[in-house]
Amino acid sequence: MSALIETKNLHFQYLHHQSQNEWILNGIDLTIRNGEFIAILGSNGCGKSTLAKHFNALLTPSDGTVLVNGRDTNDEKNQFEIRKTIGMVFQNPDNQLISTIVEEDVAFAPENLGIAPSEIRSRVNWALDAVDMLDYKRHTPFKLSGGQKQRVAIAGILAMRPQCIVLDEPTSMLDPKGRSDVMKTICRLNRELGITIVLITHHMEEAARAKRVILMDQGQIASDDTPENTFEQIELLKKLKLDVPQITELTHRMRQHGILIPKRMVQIDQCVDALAAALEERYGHY
Amino acid sequence: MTRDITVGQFLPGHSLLHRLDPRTKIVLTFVFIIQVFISRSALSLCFLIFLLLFLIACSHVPARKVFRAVRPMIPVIVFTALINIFYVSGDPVFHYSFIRITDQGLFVGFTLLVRLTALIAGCSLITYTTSLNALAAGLEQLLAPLKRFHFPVNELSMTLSITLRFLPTIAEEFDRIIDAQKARGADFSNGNLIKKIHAYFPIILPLFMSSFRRAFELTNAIECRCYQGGNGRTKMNVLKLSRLDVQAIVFFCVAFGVSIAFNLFFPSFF
Repeated sequence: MSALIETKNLHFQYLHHQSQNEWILNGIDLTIRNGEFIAILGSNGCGKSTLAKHFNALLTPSDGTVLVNGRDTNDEKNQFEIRKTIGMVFQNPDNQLISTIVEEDVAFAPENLGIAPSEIRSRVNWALDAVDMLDYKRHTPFKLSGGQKQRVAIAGILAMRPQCIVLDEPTSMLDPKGRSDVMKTICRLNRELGITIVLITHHMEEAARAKRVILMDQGQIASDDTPENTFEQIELLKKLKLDVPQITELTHRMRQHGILIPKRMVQIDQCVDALAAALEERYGHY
Repeated sequence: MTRDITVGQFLPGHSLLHRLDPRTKIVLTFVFIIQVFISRSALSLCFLIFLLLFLIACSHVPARKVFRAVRPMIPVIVFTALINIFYVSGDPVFHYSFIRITDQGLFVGFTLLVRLTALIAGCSLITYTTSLNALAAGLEQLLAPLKRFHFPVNELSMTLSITLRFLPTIAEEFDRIIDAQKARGADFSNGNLIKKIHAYFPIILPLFMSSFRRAFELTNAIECRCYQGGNGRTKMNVLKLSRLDVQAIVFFCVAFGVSIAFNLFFPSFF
């Protein structure tokens, strides 16, 4: 797998902070490869959103470099190409939709790319199909639920055919149903279309769906590992004021009470099986 | 009250009016409004009102909805009409000290009521039957010749469509802030005018703050979708005049001709 995004010694601060020498990002070295599914976790103000904005040149480093497919984000000539490669979805779906018709909104990005009308139409249909919203293409977004709007926003990015989509807390304003629909869509994009996903979140259950979890603390990377290994670092999670996932918490406590349950579990069904097995071993068949 | 903002509320559909090219609709609405305002004869005005009602029937939009847009404007319309009743000279039908009401004043006042209502209903009809993007695209095409004079046509139509897109969102926010301030004990109904205006500061300020925040987020979202101004942009829906448009234009030419003829041959007020 080739490197898609590479940050080298990335430092960042906003102009008005420059006198205080206060870094929002303080030396980030990170390589994101094609096809990965990464979750970035961290408490508020740890710099995770700021980092995400560096991936598609919305922000450029104060020091260090960010390369996307080998192109430097600092060079303005590269910005168009970079934004086409790395799409970004934000928290509030209302502030991303610019049209009153779903399909016209999805068409906005390909229209900006200067693609032929017939090609735009096929891309729009494809993108709406990929997020399971094709039935709503003539609808107005106002009447959709939060989860549906967010999926339309994802389709709007998808229509550019990016290699990677960065999602900045895409589910934090949604109800549980919308959240699970959006998460299903994200997982499917990664699995079936091979699109690299960078998911910024503070929901542990969502991070557990990723293949790699990055913990951030005060502008630095505190941990970069598989979700299984990351969630075993209970002390670190608590230090960063992050919740420990329910599964980890449960199995951790059961182990403390002498019930043998294997470590490194993050998926619910996996955990259910292990629990059943452990209980069966201890109490026999019902 | 804020719920009454109907501008930019497109109702998707397949009626005759929905299928017309936005350029046709913009030009014809524009000509219709001019006609409504210059027509001097009652007969022609009646004819134009029937034309409007006929169009509403063609659009499959409930007439109730079209005229709902008029409701928030009623005070302005009535005020303008009243002013005209008192200030137009003619044969007095009512005279008491300095108050003089003339028959012509009554006519002008009443027809102004009709004209303004027709104006607003006509505008709301076009926004009900045309999507904002189509409207913006139509306007952009109509203004395209101005590009030669370095007039930012594309940017203007983008600004317009975003404004219309966010009006209901911001109206909704306005309601929410009012509720939030009421929950904190704000009082909007008591006190004199100055007090009432003061009471609205805690609403306007948060509204501005949140609108700016929205604007920044929207800027990011638009930049993420590779917007670089109008240059090199293409359109998914390319505007093409269809046979329907030609038929509509012919129909309206005849209708406007009839209206002008009424003006010429029946110029009387009553």
